[in-house]
Order: sequence, then structure tokens, then C-alpha cells
Amino acid sequence: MKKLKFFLNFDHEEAWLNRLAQAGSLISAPGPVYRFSPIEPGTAVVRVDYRPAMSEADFTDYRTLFADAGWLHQAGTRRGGAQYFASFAGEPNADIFSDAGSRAERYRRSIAASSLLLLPFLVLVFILWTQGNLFPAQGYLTPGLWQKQGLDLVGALLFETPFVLLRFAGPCILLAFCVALVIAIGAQSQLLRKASR
Amino acid sequence: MNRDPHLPLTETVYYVLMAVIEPAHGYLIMSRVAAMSAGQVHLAPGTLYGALENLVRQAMIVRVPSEDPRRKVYQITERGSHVLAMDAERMKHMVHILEHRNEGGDEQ
Repeated sequence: MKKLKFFLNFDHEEAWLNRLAQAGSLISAPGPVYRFSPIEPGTAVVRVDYRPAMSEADFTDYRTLFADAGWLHQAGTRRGGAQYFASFAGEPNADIFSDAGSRAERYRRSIAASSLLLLPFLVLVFILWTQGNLFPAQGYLTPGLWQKQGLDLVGALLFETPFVLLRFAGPCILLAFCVALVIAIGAQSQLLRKASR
Repeated sequence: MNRDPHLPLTETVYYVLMAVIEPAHGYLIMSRVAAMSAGQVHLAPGTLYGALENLVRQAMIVRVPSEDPRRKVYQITERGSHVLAMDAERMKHMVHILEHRNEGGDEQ
């Protein structure tokens, strides 16, 4: 079973995954396209951690610590990102964090990863902008376009717009991606502040 | 006199430092802390993993070679021992003044 879903809030994500686990579906691959495998309903509790990239040896040590404590790793890779664990001990309130501070630190690690990803793309966007290659409005090349009147202007605009959109599709997608990352970082900073109180 | 910025230690850090006076891997640390604190301090794996990372970064514990390739083993450092001793002194003082508050000295 596959489900597409985006989460910025780790608590919401856990609640959703636990509802599915209660109903008999345990996460087997991470989002945004989550995959699930069937389990006995109501037997598993799912928790989420967030980790930066680590070596194979470190990743084994990480998963072994959790396994020793009764938490089996279900999804997530050593390349980093969300890591999903399940406990089958029948304790509905079981958690991989025993204090609020360490629980909140997930957001700090996620923000760090998003910021690292954002930086090079932000530089790219800035370069494109200073070159005049970022916004479609800058890119109409028809000579004397803005001096035209009435139907002439509309016709010329209609003619060139598809070409402009084609040329600017890339930069626009890039810009949208950067904006999405900035919103994500902002939202998680808020969540971090709230969770750390 | 300036106090070490690490003081006061949290309960978690104090017990983890105590748990690695003798080398130990993650789960053993969890067990030792639970036993030493008589069940008062329960360390979940996510919390412990973060605490161990922080303590290594602050040079209060260090990774030591282990026979088990799947589990990292940690031990307290000189610095960690020193900080632990200072925190114990701090707490001894606090316990002392509470227990002896009605004896002699100035009444404030």
C-alpha cells in the first residue's frame, strides 16, 4: 500500500502513522510516498527520529542501540532524514525520547539539513535574478513590444508568452523549490520553539 | 570564582557520566542508569543517542575500541570525571546546608 503525504510536524506524522498501525499497516518505506506492510492491528507503536547522514558503521550502531531497547528500525537510510522505529511491546505510550528537550531537537536537525540544501539553490536563484533570467516579465524579447497598442499588443503578447514560459519554466521551478524550503524551515523553527518551552 | 559552565549537570548527564566510568555501550548505559537511579531515571534510546553525541563533543566521554563491531563503547574522560566530581561537591554543599540550617550561624 502506498500513500502520498507531506509533513512538517513530527507529532502529526507520528499520530498519522500510529492510526495506520492501529488499523494494521506498518510503515516500510519513508515519505513523501510512504509504503506500508500488513501487521496484526494494534500491536505496534511507531516513533520518528531525524538524523543527518552517517557512515555505515555509525548507522549500524544507531539502529542496534534502538533494537537493544526494543525499537526495530522500519524505514530510513544512512543518507539521513527521518528514521522510523516500531515497538511491539504493547505499551501504547512507549517513546524513543524520555524528555521534551531531546524530542524537540529533531526539529533542529531537520532545519539544519534543509538549510544546507537551500544554500546552493539560493545562490543560483540570486545569480539568475541579477542576470534578468528569473522573472518572465523581464524576458519578453520582441523588439518594440511595449510600444504596441490595443489588439497589436495583445496579439504580440499572446504569441510570445508560450516561448517565455518555456524559457523560464526552469528558473520558476527553482524559485518555487527555494520558497518551499524557506517556508518549511520557518514552520519547523516555530515548532522547535514551541516544543522547547 | 567562576563556576564551570557545565554545572549544574542535568540528572541524565550525571547518570550517563557515572555509567561510563567503566566502559559501556549504549544499552548497557541505559541499564546501569536505570539500576543506579533505582528506576527514577529512564533513558529512551533517542534521548541517550543525543546525550552521547553531546558528551563526546564536549570531550567529557570518549569512544574506546570495542570487540563488538555493531556497538560503540564509551568511557568517561579526565574532564568528564572532573566535572562529575565538581557537581557532586555542589550537591553535597546543597544537601549540607539544608540538613544543618537550624544549627548556629547567622539567622537571616
